[in-house]
Amino acid sequence: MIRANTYKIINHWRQILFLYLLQLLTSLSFFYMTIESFSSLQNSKAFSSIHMLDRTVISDFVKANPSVLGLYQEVFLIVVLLYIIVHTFINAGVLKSLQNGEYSIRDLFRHGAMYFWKFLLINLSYGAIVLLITGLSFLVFFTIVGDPIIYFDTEKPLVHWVLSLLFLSMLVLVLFWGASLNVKIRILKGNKVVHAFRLMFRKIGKVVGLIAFYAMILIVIKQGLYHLGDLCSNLYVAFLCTQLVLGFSILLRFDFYNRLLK
Amino acid sequence: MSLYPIINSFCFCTIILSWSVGLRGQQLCIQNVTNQASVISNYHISVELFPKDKKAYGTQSLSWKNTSPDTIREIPFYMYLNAFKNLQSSYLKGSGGEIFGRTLTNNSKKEWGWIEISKIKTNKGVDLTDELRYIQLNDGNIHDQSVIQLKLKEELLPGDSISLQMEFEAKLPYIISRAGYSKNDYFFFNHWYPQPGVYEKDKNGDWGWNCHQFFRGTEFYADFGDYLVDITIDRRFVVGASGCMLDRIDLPNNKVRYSYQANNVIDFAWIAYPLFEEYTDFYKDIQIKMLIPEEHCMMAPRYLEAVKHAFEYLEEHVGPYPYPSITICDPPMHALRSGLMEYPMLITCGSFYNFPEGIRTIESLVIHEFTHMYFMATIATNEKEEAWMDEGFVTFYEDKIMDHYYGKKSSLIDFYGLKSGNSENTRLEYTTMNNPSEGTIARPGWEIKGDYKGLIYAKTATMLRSLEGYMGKESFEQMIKSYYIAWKFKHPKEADFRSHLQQHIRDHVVDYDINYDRFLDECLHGVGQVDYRIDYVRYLDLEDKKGVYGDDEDKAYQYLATNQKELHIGITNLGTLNLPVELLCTYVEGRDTLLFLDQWQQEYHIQLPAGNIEKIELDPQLKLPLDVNLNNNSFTIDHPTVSENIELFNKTSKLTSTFVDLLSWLF
Ligand SMILES: [Zn+2]
Repeated sequence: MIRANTYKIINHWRQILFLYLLQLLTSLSFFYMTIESFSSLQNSKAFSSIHMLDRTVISDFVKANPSVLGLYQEVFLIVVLLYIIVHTFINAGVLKSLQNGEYSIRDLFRHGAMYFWKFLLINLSYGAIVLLITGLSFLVFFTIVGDPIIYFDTEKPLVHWVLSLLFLSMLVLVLFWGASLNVKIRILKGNKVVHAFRLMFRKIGKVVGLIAFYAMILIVIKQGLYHLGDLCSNLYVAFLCTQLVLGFSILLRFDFYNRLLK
Repeated sequence: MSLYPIINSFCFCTIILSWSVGLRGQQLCIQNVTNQASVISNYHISVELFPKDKKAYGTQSLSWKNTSPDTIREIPFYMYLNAFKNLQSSYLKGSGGEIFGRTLTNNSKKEWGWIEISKIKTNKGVDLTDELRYIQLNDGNIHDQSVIQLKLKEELLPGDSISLQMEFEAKLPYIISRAGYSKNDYFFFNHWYPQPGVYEKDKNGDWGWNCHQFFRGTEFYADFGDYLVDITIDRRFVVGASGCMLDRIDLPNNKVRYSYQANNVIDFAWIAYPLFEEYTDFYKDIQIKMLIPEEHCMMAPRYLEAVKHAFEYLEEHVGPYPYPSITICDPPMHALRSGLMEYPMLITCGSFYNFPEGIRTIESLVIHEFTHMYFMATIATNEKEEAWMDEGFVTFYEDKIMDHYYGKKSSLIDFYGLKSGNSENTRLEYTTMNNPSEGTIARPGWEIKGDYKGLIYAKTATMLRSLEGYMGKESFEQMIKSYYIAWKFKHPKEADFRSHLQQHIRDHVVDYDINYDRFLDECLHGVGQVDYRIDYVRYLDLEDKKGVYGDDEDKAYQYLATNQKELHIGITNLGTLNLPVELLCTYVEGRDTLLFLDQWQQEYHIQLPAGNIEKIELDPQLKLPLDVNLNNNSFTIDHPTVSENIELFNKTSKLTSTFVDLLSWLF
């Protein structure tokens, strides 16, 4: 079973490479922007401290060049938007390719284009629903409670309330995730998005379990490798570690789709 | 996953605390012996709390000694609880009924606070109640009752003492700031009894009363005294107070009387709350008492550790802790407005349920308040007129202690890769002020309208770092240690500190022999900031200068013989505060030249014999953190290496990939 999955993943090396390059490009865009915006510091001792994300260097710089902050915000927003759009596109293609067993980049694009709008709709409605839940929760909470400092004796209920809101939105997220898989599968058979959500409830245990499992693996690997990277005097090793984690997280994602589609 | 730290820290807290209580619980708080020379007022106060009315009724016998050469005809008393009596008090006036996030316009009668003297007589039985009159010498606001003056029927000659018997009522407000009551019978009593002002020499050397009205942004100033305070209260309360508990007597009706003694202190505060958990620990023989609500229990080990660090550091670098105890109170969420304050031997801090360990504001704040036991309680400067003399010094030592025990670059924040040092944070609080040049540091609290904290806490602490930088660590420490010995249990003013510093510089070796008086003048009374910048670094060809110039033939010849080139460096201060600064030139061959630019100039044009320059750095050891932009302080010929670039890329991609991971799990 594990071996079969591994083979299947290895067979997808082209898609994995594609996604990897996509993430690399995102990193690079920030890297170049950082280099570019700090270029006025090229002759300063401070420049070599930027990689430490030194708060003093960055604060002094932003205070002296207030426009940089705005630029970062703009680029950040654009990158996030682009990333969501591209990933929505790729996800649609990846799922279809996995199910059909077709592995070409051409198919990835073709299927991506085919299901893009439906997947985007699902992603956007996720955002809308989470906003709605949070907004409603705040409204109800403060209507009942008024001033929490007067209403509660301690801050404990406040903390628990925020944590349960977070948990709730995670649950909704998982639902949407599963639904996007189902949409793909069911659409092929002519079914609707709503139907996909209904089916999703049936698989929710599996989805939650898988996500928790992969998240755990990723966290462990990440912590381990990053730590190793930090300790390593060789910068190239540190760099490789980062890339490895990047690649591995994509690998895990493929495996996730793969298992759910079984 | 997030549950483990909670469980862990909770267990740890219970184990450690029960251990310390079990082991040392029997040990008593050992009272310090008063140096009677410094004690001017002596108090014996008996007070009973009536929780339903939010009131305490007290009797106070006070003896006050006239240590001045003047004959005293009246004594003013602080009546600071009256600041919370109505919106017309000088404290609340101009707040528009909105203060520290609280709306006061809908206050019920119960929510206001006041203090009233119902009777006052001498120990010979002469009734003086009719001789009391509210005065408003600062602002003439007739509605303000924060200072009351007692006209004496008999003159008090130099060296004589007067004993007064007083009856008073202290009604606590629903906490606005510091003193007050809150939910579940939380009571914090400070400035709760009539306390005389200070009769002293002012800046011009004239004797007079220093007894200001109560304004926002000002605190307390009083004489040293010995206090004996009996507190009668319902048995359900957990009580904390300045000083040592001498006795506890059970009374009928489920009441109890605690007797506290605090010697040689400028004030006495106490706190009562039935929901406090109480823990006792020790640093050497000093009792540490911790009062903390159950929901903050997991913070107790952090508090205790931090306070012990502060004890250790300050005893080593400033002087011995002069009192027998310290009580640390962590208020519950609803009483947070009484948090982050300092009174002799009693401090209040602030925490939050399950607050992350990597964010050490809890430690930083408790260390700050504890350091006030040195600068405020012992070296009792006038917080109202010269706030920088306690808050600045306290912040300076808060930075030192935090950085020493928790790491220079991560003492304040070490949270998922985000790091910040405490002293780094302090400097940034000053540099990121809307206007770091705004106003002078040395002026009364009520005159400062802008960023009080940035100016009084951060800029002063950063200035003291420079002072230490130029004097040298050892010399600075010696100076502070002798300052502490010379001025403990006294009220030093700016001039006293400065003459102490001058004396020290005359008698001791300092790293740089600059004009320290001018340095302090610029920093404390000047308006402005520092921002030195390296403008240019140039080699000047000397081909066309060949020949012999002036009388110094050797020098000119040397120039020609070495490189036929000359190095020119331009430095400008973009700010207006011109302070001395170091300049270091490092040559590729390994040698370096350190110059000290102490001409207090705005611009420097420096010529050096040429050589292969590797880098030029202004203030290489960060002795002048007052410089608001450190990035323009250096010039390196070498551009970043490939490996430095890769490291930067590595960091960027780590950050981006973490974020991208998050996104890719979401979508
Ligand atoms: Zn303070």
